[in-house]
Amino acid sequence: MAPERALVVRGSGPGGARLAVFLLLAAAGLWAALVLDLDPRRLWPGREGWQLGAEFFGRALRPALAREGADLPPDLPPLWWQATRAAWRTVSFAAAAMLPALAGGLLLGFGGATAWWAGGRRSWLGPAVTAACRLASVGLRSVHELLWAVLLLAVFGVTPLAAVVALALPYAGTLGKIFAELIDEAPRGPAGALRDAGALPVQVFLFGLLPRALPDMTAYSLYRFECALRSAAVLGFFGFPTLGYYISASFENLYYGEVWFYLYVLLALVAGVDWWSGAIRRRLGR
Amino acid sequence: MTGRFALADVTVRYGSQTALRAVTLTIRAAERIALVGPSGAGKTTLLRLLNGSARATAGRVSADGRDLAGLARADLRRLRAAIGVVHQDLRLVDNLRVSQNVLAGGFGRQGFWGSVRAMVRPRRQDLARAHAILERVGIGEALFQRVDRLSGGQQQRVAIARALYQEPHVLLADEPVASVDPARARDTVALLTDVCRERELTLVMSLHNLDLAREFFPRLVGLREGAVIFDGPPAALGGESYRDLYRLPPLARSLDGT
Repeated sequence: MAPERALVVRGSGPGGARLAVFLLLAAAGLWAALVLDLDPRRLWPGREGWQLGAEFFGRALRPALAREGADLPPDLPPLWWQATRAAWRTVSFAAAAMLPALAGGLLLGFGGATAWWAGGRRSWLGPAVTAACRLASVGLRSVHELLWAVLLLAVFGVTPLAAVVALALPYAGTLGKIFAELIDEAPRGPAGALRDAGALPVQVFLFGLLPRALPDMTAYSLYRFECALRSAAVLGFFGFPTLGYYISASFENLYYGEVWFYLYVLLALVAGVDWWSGAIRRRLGR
Repeated sequence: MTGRFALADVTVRYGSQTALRAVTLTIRAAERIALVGPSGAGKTTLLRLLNGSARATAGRVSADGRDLAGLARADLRRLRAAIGVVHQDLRLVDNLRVSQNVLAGGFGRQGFWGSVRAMVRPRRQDLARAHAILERVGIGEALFQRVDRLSGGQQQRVAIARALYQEPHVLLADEPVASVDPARARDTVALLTDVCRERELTLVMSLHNLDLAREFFPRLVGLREGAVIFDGPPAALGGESYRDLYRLPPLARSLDGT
């Protein structure tokens, strides 16, 4: 294996192709910048822009610890409580969305892999199922979760169900694609050995192929959970009571201190999930 | 199954390549045979014919008198369950435990739920049997270790144990010692031949190493370019057939200046 790979790296053919692709991408980028009339000088803001920027980023080191604004109704909950509740709701939206997304992703991933039928008896069924699952994965994830949210808001209104379904659909597609790839990348040798020992296709798949793909599938699912947290927060802009809702409300009121407080809560949330998934991955021995 | 095989005038072609040509061979129960010859001679194809992994393009392959070509799926499964295979590259699930890899050898006789149970919560008597086999191959203490924590030599023994856990009547070994140092190669061949003698299993092993084949096998089958050019006891393999077996192709000969 190693000498072949070394050849690929050193060979002039693939290297030339890589250079061509790189140049093509660079040319496409320049062309797009011209078409869009992008002028880097315009990144330099005007006087008002500077003022707003200074005001907003100036609060980064001084986030509000209590509500800003005067004449607040006395029954408003304190800021930390509001943020905690919003963070909790963000986590629940993400978690509720990951459950159906994982179920769908596993189905699409198993079906979309070629490893469960390659090497067995030839039939049209395996390739057909794989093609159907891959098509479904592409369809689901070609629509971004925010677009799904717009569609589903029209159907369900601003309900938790709409948010959860909007997240779950594209995530099922993405998980399905990655799961299929991870399963197909797992070494096929053990599967062949079990087939030689007379194992059924389902036994070959579950115990010959899947164990090698499972640690990576778990790690990727945890990463997607982190993405779901951020997406759930952003869904707040549509009126769902997650962190994004309060961030946009405080921003519109020019309460930049509150915005930073919510942003730091989101940061802590994402960092927490990152740490947690790292701990799980270490335990899986990866 | 008793472990008898017969190949009658078998030819195997892959596209334009002929892997085996007109091979006729009889293998008796509990016989131990080494397939020798240069790489590309068709040894692996011959082994794959015996458990139904490869199909004869022409001719007839039979096990216990039954033609393998007409075998229904369930019968093929039964045949494979009775044939243990040890591969050169081991083919273990290396992030599972030794016990799980060995118990996977029982899948051929298990339904789906039986195999789930064997992987998740194995029965005590199954574990005991796996342990006894591991003891026999010399690594009983590794029962609950993860395979990727073991040395290459230990992993090879796990692969052998998995094949033996099938309680096979036949053991096929495809170059089991091709990527192994000489001392370990000798140990492995000795272990496989001993185990097969004890349990009266038919053993067919492909081997690069002619010295090991001569030392451990009562019968050698020499292949060259897909044809059987020698079949007999090691003593009958004189200088002439030896040269035939490993005769270099014309290009290599001219490069060597012979």
